[in-house]
Amino acid sequence: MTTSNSIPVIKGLFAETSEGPRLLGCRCATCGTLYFPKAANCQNPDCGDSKLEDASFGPHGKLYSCAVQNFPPPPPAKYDEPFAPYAVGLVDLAEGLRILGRISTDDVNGLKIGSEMELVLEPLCREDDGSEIITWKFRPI
Amino acid sequence: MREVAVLGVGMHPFGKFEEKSVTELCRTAVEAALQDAGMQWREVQAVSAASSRFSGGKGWGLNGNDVVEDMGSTGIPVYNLSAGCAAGGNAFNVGYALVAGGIYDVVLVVGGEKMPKGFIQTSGVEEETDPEFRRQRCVGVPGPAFWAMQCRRRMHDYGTTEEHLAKISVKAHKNSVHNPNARFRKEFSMEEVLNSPLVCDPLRLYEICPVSDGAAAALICSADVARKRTSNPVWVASSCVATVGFEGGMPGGVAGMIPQRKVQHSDAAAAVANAFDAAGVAPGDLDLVELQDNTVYYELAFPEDWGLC
Ligand SMILES: [Zn+2]
Repeated sequence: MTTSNSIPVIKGLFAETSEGPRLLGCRCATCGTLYFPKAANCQNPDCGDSKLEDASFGPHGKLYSCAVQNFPPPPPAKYDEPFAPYAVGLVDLAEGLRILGRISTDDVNGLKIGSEMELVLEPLCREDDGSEIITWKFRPI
Repeated sequence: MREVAVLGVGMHPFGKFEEKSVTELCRTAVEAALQDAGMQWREVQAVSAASSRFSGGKGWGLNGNDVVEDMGSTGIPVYNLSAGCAAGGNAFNVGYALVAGGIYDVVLVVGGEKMPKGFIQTSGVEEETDPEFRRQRCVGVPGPAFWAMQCRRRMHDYGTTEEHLAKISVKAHKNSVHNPNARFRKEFSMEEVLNSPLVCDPLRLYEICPVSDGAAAALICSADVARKRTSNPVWVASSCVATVGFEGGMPGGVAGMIPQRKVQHSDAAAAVANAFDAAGVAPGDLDLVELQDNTVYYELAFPEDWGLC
């Protein structure tokens, strides 16, 4: 999906691995709390000893809920002109994280809560110089 | 803790007022509150000022220092609070604490704002470490889209329909007809609401709060001051503020642990539960509830969260 003039929307949030796309976060070895993106310290108030180690998440999850953004969002959101309504969703990953993301679909009104979803890395928009800005999205399987 | 009374209140109507500054909006509200309380500006000992964001930093909002300068620079302390949609409650709570704690006898709580048109820009910085910047740049979820996701989940869980949502808007607008401070003082029909454009499906234009300009003020005081001014003071039974708990539900950034409990809005629920405790009352004792309804969805969700129904 990504090409040579593809630029991640923010560096270090996701990667294409030999096993497919993954979100890059971390996990507290003491209390098991998961973080995406990486956290500087464990935020669990009952955790006495923050021990964060790298962890990656995805690609499988279930759609917890979704909505359609019917009008252009304000900055710093990005989109291609002319604006086309897009779907956003909360996806419950198998690892136990609930993640916000755009939904990759041509049928924004046909999404069903509880559907199986997979993580994909896809263009968010195209810049004036032709480069593609890549972000994480979820696609119904 | 000392008892706290509300001695006077005032408002500037909500609407769009291109020709007025936020300080002018506040002056109308503050003067009305002073008149209601039978007080002079000189008697105010401190100001707790609210806006969704502090105007000194990110554009619009309120700087309470400007209100004091405008009313007369008496040199009193100003506490500027920016807390998004909760700013007014936050400022009242700080004013309440200052009086209850015996620091001041007369505190002005004032909130005012002039809002830009359209979706509210929730991140004002180009900073990749800012969680709100990441949320908007990487995904693009203005407030109404987030509320719409909560609403869609409710529709899935409880069978809430588009008609249920529209009825709330019709009811709320009906309440506005005789309110001189309301933005729209007219009734809306079910048909009008259901035919208004989808802003963030399933939420429609007439089901979401319009971004408005306005101001409100309250003068709060100690029991000694109140009893000298009136034989029938309005006492504050309790005032509480809370933030979202670690397992509180929806992620504030782009991700969070899937909650084990089914509390969607743990911040509001905790504040209400603490307020009931502090006042020694139960949901059944209430005669009237005013709640934050950014969108019709909350008017269904909050009363259930709080044990009101
Ligand atoms: Zn931990």
